[in-house]
Amino acid sequence: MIEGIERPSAPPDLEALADAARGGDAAATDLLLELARPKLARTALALGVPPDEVPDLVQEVLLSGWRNLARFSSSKGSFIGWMMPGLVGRVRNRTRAGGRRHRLLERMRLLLGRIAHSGDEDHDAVEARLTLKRLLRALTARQREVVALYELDGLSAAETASALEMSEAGVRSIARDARNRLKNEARRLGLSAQREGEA
Amino acid sequence: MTNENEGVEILREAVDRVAASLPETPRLLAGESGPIAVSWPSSRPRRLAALAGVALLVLGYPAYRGLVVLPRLAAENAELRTALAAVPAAAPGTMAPAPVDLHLITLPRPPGALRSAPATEEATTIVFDRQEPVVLLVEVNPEWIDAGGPESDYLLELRGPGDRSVGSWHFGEDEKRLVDDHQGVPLLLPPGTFAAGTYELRFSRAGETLSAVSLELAWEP
Repeated sequence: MIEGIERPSAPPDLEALADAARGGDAAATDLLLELARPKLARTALALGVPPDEVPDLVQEVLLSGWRNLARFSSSKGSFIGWMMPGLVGRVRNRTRAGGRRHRLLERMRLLLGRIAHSGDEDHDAVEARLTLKRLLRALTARQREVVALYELDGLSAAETASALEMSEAGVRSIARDARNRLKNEARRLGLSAQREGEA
Repeated sequence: MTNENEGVEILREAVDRVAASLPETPRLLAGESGPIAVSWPSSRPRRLAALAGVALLVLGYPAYRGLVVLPRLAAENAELRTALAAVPAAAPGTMAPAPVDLHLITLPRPPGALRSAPATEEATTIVFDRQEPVVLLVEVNPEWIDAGGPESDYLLELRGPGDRSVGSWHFGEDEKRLVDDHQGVPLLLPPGTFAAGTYELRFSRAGETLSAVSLELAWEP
């Protein structure tokens, strides 16, 4: 059992928790999943998954990670980096699937969202969703993956390259192009000026 | 701000704000034989195992007999049903709990212009309950928009008897995306805003009608 992991002031080491969880420590497992969930949710959002679908997707990834925890080794990289291929793979499959049911649901979500906007919806969250959608639209699918893992999750180039099955040089190159695209899109949409005004 | 990461930083802030607004999902807790999802803090595996056993008994036999569909098997349908059932609840003044029918409307081809839309103009009859909203899914050919400038120039408008405008919907990014993906643009007609009669749904750009279709709205007997 890891001592003092209930509500620490500093974030605990996920790799240490994963090692403890692999050894059968239930408390470490609970905490590991609780801490990994928001990180995975943010990555899923950055990969372009609609916010309404993120919780279920993350749940799937966590369950899968749990089942395969015996294969994790902290000596080979970070826990989040180890989870990434599972998340990215699901997002890719979901994008490819895209069938009739999904399109119809999308229609209904759009319609319901439009109605809800006239009510008490949190305007800040609505604006954030719009910003997210607009910025991600400027990126290719590959750029989204690199930005999500390398820029937002803070994985190393080597971890990102491993998760996405590409070279480290490729990661850096795509990240550079993506940064430029995001910067230009943010300026074109007036998001940079708006942010400066708020600051 | 001039740093090259400003776009990434704005994206990160948006991601964090959206992530903070996501609904809570059941936590995963360690069970003796694997993870268990719990939606309340004090739950533990034994309690959930007992509940799962009861659920299996309650649902198992009827499912075996084909009398009910197990939740897992019905998940896709349930999600869609929930979305549809929420439409009446979201529309002001609506009391009907029944799911709303979707009416798919395909706009006819503009004269002498395009290839892949129906050339004939046939009236579509929609039978509706006066207590429920009507939802139209309007199929628009993406070529019509790609060829003619920004999406904000486009308008869908429903006109009723006496050429009275019942509702109009400007195109935005969401509508453009749906059109590009060959999906329909959803339009909601709240109950009480229209009556039985002959209507025309027009698709226009800058005041010029590109396509139109007749709709016969009839009260449900």
